[in-house]
Amino acid sequence: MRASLVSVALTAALGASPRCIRSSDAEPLWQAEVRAAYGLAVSGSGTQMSARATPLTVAGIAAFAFNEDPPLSGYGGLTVEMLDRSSVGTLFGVMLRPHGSHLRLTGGGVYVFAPYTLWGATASMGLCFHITPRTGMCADAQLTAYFAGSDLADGRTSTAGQGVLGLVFDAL
Amino acid sequence: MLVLALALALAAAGCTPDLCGRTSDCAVGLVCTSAGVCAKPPVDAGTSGTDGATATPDAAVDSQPPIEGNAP
Repeated sequence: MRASLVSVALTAALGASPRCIRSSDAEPLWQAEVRAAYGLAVSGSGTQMSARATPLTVAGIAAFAFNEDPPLSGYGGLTVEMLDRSSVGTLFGVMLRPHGSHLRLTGGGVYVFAPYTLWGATASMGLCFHITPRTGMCADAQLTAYFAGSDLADGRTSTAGQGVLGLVFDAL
Repeated sequence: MLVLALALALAAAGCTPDLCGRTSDCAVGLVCTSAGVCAKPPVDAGTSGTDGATATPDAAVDSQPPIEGNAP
């Protein structure tokens, strides 16, 4: 008798779970992402404008959906600059993923804290596609404007335009 | 491809790839000046100050042997 009750409960739970999974696939509550970015950085103006390749930027972030309509997520994580320099920082912001669309828009900030400091604002626009039920690939165009910090020369800002490739994992 | 296109567009706009935007664009020991040029840091006094700071721990180490000498 007890065994049959347990089996009924398990069957009910398993029967309900596919709907939950489908629901979470459509609207994941938590996402983890690994992304790599590379592009061009410009600084200054007029004849003193410089243009050079950005460092390779690799970041790991976690995003949490906090609003359903519009579908907004907050994100935060660590970012590392590499290739011709090494630095570590954090990034944070808000992400919009419109319902029924592959589009995503983000806006936020960057704070590099070691070995120098940099404050920046960042915005990106891109497309995401699922490659498995819980894994997706994203491609974004990202602009980052660094406006303060010990790595900037006095009175100068630096703006980086980067192409971003990301691997996204739906966690919950 | 996109990066190459951007580089060509910026080069056509007169951008100079040799200029710096960030100190980390420069070689080690150089800083990016407000003119966008990598140069040696102008404040040499900061370096001598560092030397002075290094001397202080050395003096502390020098003071240890007499203490050890008093122990036996």
